[in-house]
Amino acid sequence: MWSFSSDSPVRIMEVCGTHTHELFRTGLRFSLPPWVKLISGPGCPVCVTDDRDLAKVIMMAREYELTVLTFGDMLKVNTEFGSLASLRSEGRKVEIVYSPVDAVTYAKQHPDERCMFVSVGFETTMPSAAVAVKEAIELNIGNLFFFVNHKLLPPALDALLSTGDMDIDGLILPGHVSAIIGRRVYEPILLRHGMPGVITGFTKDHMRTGINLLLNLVVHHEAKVLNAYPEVVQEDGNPQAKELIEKYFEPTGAHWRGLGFIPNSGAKLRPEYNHLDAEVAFPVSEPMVHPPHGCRCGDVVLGTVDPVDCPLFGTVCTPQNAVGPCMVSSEGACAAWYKYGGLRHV
Amino acid sequence: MKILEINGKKAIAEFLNVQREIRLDAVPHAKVGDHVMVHAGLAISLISSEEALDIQNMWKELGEDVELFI
Repeated sequence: MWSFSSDSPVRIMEVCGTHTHELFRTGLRFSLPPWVKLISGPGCPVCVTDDRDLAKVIMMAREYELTVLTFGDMLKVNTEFGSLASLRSEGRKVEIVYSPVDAVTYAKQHPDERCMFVSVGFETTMPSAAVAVKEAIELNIGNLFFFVNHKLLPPALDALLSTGDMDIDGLILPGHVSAIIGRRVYEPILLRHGMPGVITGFTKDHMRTGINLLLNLVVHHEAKVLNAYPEVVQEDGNPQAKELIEKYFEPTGAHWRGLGFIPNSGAKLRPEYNHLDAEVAFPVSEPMVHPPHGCRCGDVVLGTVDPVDCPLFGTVCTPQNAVGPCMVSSEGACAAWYKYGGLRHV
Repeated sequence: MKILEINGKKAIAEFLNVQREIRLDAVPHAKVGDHVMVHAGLAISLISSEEALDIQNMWKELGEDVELFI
């Protein structure tokens, strides 16, 4: 019926960066049979943020003397225009926030500063960002603007599976994103590509169950989307969270590192909230950027190479001196490989 | 995280002895004593106490500073 071997393994992509890390940390990755190959996917929000978007943030902060509010992982990502950390060394204020609502609190407490919250993340983070927009409006905060750079997972999966180079037999789908968007939304995309997928939680037991279910689908050639995390993920997701997203955001085209431009794969503020949109309030010209020389982060997020295949991995590029975002971010595949896998293929 | 206090759409929740203010906008039926999954300060799902225990055990095993992550 099927014949997989270490020379011709089942290729499973774990879409989510948290799965990448947990599969290493729990040792599950090392206990899989040799005929199962795990490939890291584009599910780390910092890693897929395109350099041109981060460069824009840096240009806006410099030109308009903005205080930048951001999640910690974004701080050290380097572009040709510098990093958010380098803005700090230039004397600009760059503050790390734990949640988008903290950005509202900061702006309220610092009325003399013009603040920009860098709102990145997948569907999991968007409801929280929507609550911050709602709060900023309700409290009439006049000095907070949102640089909205959210990414939507289903269109990205569709684009990923549509590229000719992908050699994947099944997808481990992310538990937290799916808590928001549900199971059903994946079905038309994965079925169109004949691709099985299993929504999976993050404990060792969850992941073992998810992988077993997925392998079962793969070996029986069944293109189904199963939910192995029903305690958290509902068929249609979280209706209140989806309502918040739809009230404040609308889909837009977005640039992804590795995947390029994908129509309707990002989110921006709805036009009625233009007055809070940092890109409207602080226009800058479109920056021309190039990825760091030799960095293969774009291929790593696509899963076409393993981190150890990058010439910079573990030598020039380490967590202490990261070149690409896949090493900078705690959810990045390169950071996981470096921390748990060392310099070899695993 | 376990909900300790609710004040409108805000709540105080605790995980491994670290307390945070969280938002309940996406889980409107949450009650004091419920366990919720929190992402970027917003509760995104109610979870069972067994699931909460599993997650706590995972973090204890991880041995990292919870305060940096929640």
